[in-house]
Amino acid sequence: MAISKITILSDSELETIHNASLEVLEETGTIVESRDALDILKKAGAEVDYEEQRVKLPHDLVAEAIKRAPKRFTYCARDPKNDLVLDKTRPYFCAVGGDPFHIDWETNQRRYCTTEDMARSTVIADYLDHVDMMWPLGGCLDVPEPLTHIYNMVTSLKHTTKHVEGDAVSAAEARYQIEIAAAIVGGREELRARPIFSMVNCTLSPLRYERGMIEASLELAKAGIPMAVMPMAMAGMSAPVTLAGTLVEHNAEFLGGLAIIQLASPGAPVVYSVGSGTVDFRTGLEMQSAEMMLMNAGLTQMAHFYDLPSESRGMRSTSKLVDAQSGYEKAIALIPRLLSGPDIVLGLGGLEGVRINSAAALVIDNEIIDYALRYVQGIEVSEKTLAIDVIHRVGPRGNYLGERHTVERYRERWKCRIADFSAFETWEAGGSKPLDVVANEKVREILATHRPEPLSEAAEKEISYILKKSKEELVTEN
Amino acid sequence: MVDLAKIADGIIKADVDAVKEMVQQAIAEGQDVQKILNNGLIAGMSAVGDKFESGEFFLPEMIIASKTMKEGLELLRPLLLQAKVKSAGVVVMGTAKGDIHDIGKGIVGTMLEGGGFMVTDIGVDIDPEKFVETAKEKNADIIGVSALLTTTMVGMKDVIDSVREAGIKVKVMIGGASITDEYADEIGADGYAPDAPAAVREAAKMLDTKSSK
Repeated sequence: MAISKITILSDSELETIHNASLEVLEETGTIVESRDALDILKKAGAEVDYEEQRVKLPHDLVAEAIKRAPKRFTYCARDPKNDLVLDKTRPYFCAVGGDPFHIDWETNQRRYCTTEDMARSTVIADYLDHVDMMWPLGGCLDVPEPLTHIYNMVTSLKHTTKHVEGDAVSAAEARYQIEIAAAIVGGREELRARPIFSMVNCTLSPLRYERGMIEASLELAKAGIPMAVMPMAMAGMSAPVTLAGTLVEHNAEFLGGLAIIQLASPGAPVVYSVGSGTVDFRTGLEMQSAEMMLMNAGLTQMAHFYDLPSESRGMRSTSKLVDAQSGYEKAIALIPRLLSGPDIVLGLGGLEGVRINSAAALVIDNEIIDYALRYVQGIEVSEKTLAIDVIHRVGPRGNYLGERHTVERYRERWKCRIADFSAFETWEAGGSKPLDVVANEKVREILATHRPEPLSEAAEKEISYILKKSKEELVTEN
Repeated sequence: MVDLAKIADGIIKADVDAVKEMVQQAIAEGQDVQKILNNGLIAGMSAVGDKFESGEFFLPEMIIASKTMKEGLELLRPLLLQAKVKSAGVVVMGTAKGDIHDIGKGIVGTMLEGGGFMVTDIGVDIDPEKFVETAKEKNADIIGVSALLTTTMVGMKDVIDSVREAGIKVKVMIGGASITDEYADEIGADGYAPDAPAAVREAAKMLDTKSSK
């Protein structure tokens, strides 16, 4: 049988966290820094203090928002065979980005990311079989600042036929990205039917919704673009130090964000996204930890409690390079992560939290996923797999290599692709290469050979025009 | 007479009520203000700092001690002004234009206060001109600019440019998740720190070398 799911919280604990979240939203409330959103909430019956931008959400409004949210939907992709059906039946894997830094695979040095870096990282992500979708990988930091997120989306969509989950921190950024995607799929209605991109919408813990993000999300919801509402509450810093307290705050912030979107655009697709975690109390910097993994699992259960698709971190590392730390942090987190049943697992290719984008890490993560996916399939016990007849036939002293039973099935056995399983002498003769070197070689090989399906000429032309327009509107020359 | 070492001890234990009571009592007794500050509050904070350096204390103890110190300092402040006692330095801080992420800034601000700096927090999404204006008004030694995002960190350069243009004698220190030492150099910042405890050390160091620069 397949391995049983992991549960961290009991049914009554889920109920308790839900009720506590409602209490926070109704009694303490949240700050919503957008006049448009405040109007929507007020009209729906929330208690709104315009001066303080403070919103108190009654229970029934939250319940209504949960009811309106679709329970399953599809993250579409440029190539429909890369569509991701988010229905809680299998995990998809998302390469992460938005990182300011890139590790140069020629020099192994960390530096600010450029458009060219992102283009090449996207080609690698497009190639790797376990990368199902991606955030813009790194950032186009070489274009004028108001255009970064727009160029991130264009650069990503140009170099992959997989789904892209991006960022927009203003309504204008959202509108341009909608226009660009519409140019690719052939129009606004086509985009609504097949949203080839989605957006991460972060709350500002504790209990705040920032104007740009909220106004972007209102635009996106109107256009039918799915959104992942992602609180990033840091236990002990921007949330209570206790894990249960952070779960309450995270869940409250998610529900508050969901309410704004559902009240504005009923039925808009929203993913329950988990970005909360822990910090190193020595520096205040975010860190990967067992507690983060536990909260991830608990919050994934909260998503299931609401029957909503979920995404969460599963392959995060605080290491600054591809090394033993990055390997163990990612590997140790992944199997329990898969067993808690998320729709989307984040973290592939990221190092130093989400500060560094590393193509070598992405190649290695692809292999760790392959390994973990095999593990969670479990062991099949049937007449054929028990193989009693084969045991009888081979008996004591024989070997099984040449048995038809083996020949027919051994290819199902998990195989490494880049890790080295050879004898010492063979490994030495091959140059005694550590895994990061092998991964970098793979990166170069992919770049030399893989050519993602380009955009149509018409789409390219239209996008150039949209980019020109965005520059004229958003970049003010001093 | 209140034993000033007990005030220091109160800071280490973050016992706000006890610290306030003892500071008030010491003032009433007519003890020297400078001594209450140095042998009481600052002695306590520096012991907390030592414990942090040695790994016994972590950020939560630093922050709660800083908050305790601030409460004690509030009581002393009018007398310190009268006696013209100088603080470790005057800092004006805010987040860069377009950036509203202020958790890190708040932590650094509290830690600086704990380090004896006078801190004016002008909030989030701040125009370069506002930094300059407030620095002038407060006669600041340091302007601290924080930005989380790569899209807003470019706004830090505008602050530095405005400061240089205004010709005021103030150092600019920057910090945030997207910042590096190299970036700080590139835009001409006087200081940079990768985390909050380092920010307090950097601020002190910057003012130490102020005369030589």
